[in-house]
Amino acid sequence: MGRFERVLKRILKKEKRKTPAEIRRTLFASLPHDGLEGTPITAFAYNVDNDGRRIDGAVLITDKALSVYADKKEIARYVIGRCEKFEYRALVGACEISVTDEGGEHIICRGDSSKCELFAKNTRRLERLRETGEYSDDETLEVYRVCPKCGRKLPRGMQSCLHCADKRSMFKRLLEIAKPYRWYIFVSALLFFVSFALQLLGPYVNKLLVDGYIDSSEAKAQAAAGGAASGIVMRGFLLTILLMLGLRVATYIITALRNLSVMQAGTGFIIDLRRKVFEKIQELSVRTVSKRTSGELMRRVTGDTSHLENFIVGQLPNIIEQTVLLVSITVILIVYDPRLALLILLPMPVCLVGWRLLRRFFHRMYGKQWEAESRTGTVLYDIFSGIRVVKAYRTEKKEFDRYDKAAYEEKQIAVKNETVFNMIDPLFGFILNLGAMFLLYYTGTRILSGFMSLGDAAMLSSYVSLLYGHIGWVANLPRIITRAFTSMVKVFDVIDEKADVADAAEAVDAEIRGDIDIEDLTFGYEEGTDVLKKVNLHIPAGKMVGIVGRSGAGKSTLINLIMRLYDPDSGRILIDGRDIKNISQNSLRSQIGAVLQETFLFKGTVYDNIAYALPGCSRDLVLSAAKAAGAHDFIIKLPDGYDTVIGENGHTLSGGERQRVSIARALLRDPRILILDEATASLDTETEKNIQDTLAKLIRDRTTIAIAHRLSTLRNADFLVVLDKGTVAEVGTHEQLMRNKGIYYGLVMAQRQMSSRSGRQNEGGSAR
Amino acid sequence: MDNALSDVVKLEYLDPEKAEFMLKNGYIALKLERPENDPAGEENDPEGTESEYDRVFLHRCFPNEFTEEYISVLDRDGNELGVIRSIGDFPEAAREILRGELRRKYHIFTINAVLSINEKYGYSYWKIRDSEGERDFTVRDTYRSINRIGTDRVTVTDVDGNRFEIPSLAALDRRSRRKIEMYL
Repeated sequence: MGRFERVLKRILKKEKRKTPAEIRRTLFASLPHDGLEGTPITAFAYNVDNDGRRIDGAVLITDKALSVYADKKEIARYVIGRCEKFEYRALVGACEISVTDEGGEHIICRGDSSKCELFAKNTRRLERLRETGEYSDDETLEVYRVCPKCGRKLPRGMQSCLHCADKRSMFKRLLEIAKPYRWYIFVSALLFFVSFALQLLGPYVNKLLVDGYIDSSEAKAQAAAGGAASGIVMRGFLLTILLMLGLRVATYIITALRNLSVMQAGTGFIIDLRRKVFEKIQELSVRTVSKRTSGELMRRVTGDTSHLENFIVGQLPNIIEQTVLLVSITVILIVYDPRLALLILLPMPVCLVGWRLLRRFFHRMYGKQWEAESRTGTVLYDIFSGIRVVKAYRTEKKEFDRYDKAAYEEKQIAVKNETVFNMIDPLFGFILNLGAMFLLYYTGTRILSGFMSLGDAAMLSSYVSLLYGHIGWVANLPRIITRAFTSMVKVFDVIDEKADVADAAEAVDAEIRGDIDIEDLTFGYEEGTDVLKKVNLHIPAGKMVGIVGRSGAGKSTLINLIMRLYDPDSGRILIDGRDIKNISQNSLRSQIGAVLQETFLFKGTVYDNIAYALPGCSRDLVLSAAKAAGAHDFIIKLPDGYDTVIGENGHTLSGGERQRVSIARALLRDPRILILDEATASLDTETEKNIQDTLAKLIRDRTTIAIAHRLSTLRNADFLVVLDKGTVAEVGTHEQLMRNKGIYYGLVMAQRQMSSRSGRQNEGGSAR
Repeated sequence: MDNALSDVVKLEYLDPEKAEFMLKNGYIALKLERPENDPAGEENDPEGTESEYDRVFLHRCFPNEFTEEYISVLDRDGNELGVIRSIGDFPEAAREILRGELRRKYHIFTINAVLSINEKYGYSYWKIRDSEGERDFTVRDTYRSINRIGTDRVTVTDVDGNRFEIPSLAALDRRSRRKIEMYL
């Protein structure tokens, strides 16, 4: 870490309460900038020089100029007004900002990947400054993703530092969620103590049995006299045995009841928690959610919460029980005979330390095994899901070998692990047994010298076996607790995340007409790579606009923004003159019908999938929507009609069929704005034309935005917008654009050529 | 096997005689004499044309396998001007320029020794030594962030997206190797 960064971090840490302006001043003071014109705006650090070596660099920006420092010495200065362009560029494992002026392109600064976001933000700021002379206030400091408390780097996608997360307050919040189950918890706790008492009582009754009856002087005397045990002794003996039996039964009942009540509390609690996490994820924007893989989200909702569940239902009661048990047995032993207690406890620290050391080793061993197992699993999954490709290329043998190799590796590791484990584990048993030997020796001599009764010896040995039985578990305790804490922190991390596409405070439910105005819209999914650049567009209400352009031109991105799945980086989108940030998302999206490129159908019946858009609507409406989308005809031919279950394990629909179902879904909503993103791309031209004709009637008076590669799809459009590399390249009707002979003309001509060529081929084919 | 594909599509390799790389403001520029025959064989230009690009971009086709071979050269708009078959074919001056540019583009820290790896709460905190001294970084999802290339090479990606490389596990000292071993 560079010196400059350290200074910055110290400032961040110490002066958390200072305003950005104050922090800025401190930064400027540390860099010499005599004669640099303009008002200082910001400064940021960079850390790699032109040859890839580590360096302490900084860039200082005023509203007129920028100055570049290396090791606190100024190495370059640029007047912003004379620059032509600032560019951010992501490299591999690094990034840079460059400037183009009359002398060509120059490098300003370079950094490793930790600087990407910082550089991208500042490049955007510089560009804005250059074009308009305006600048936004300093948010640069936020992107130093360092925990303000400990200085550790914050992992991407995490809001709080795992080290510094206030675990106690989190635990409090957990308890709050657990509040509805407090009676169960209370009952569980009560039953816990009863079961401790019962467990501790057992060895004592044992002692009574031995001392009072088996080894009692009366019994001995009677035995010596050659007679049977007297009635009183016998009755007491039987009674004690019954008492023991009763104890066992009571322990069983109490434990069962306790487990039941813990489970009641635990599962209810975990379902509540899981619901909370899921609800939160639903609330978050697409951008926030897609920062994490769906696998990770699944893990947060199911994995982490079930770790917590395991902990609370399974392990926490155990921890309490065992801890109390261990402590009380130790106390009993010490009270009984401190020297004896010492002897018994002696091997325990040895084992504990040994176990702690070995835990890392075992962890590594079994970690490897787990990895190998999952590798074999992946190979299998790969082969099964790609079975058609495997068959088509006849690579079964190769795939079999691949599996074989993975399985063999797994076996090798497993054998090694088991061998090591089985060598080491009994060793601990042996060490503990040494303790038992001490006990035997000690009690034996005590009994022989008449200081101890046989019953006492029996009781002690029962306590010791209770004690030793759980020692291995104690060694595992830290891991169990760490894992539960990890899950807890991760779960709260999701719950605490701020929703970034949030409704503004003044957001209202608005009935929209569908007049769309796009102003200076700039947006990129990742920092620094703009997918849309300064897009300006007006779509009057009730018109149909076709958006065309090459793959990756930003067409789908544009509609994602109109639906407000993302918020623009700069610029705004107005519907009926109102910024969409001020329209509640609920009312906005309920008036937009979208048929998207990926036609996702949920598991359920065809009917449910269409009715999804308008729950509780009449069946007639669903049927008409399906009819309009051209779906009705194929649906009724399915054996189960509208009741056909689709999705996983259900009936498989073809691409075209899925599209028609999703068109029906969009139409059912009777939206003010209809978005068709390649909605009919999987259909044959004939079916497409039929649907188009129906759509043409339906979409009258509705704003429709259609994206299509097949340009004939857009023949009903009132006007066309050609996007090229994220900017609006051409706007006009089909005829106007054809006359212009620009990009659109090129696309049309290319398609015509293709279709006439394939037409010729088809003719040739049929003639033969 | 004689593949018909290579007759239809021809990858254009840059001829060291006709492609001249130079530095301009610290960036790499290219003077390129176009091949006289268009690969498709349709439009032959007997003269050959010379074009100048004030900034070109290099991309390794196989960043893991070949560091100096198969390097694609692109212009500002992302059009491929040609592929460098091997940097070794170029004159010494050009080689230096190309290597410098590649070093800039592919920023990779080389791990000489692993000092410690601490795992906590699902993240691992690494302390390593590279050619410039000690360095710390944080790795999320450790097993998945470690990528084994072949049997001996390992790359690690940290939370920021920075890349770290162990060129040879075998060459690593024993302590370092043992520290990283459990994650491989």
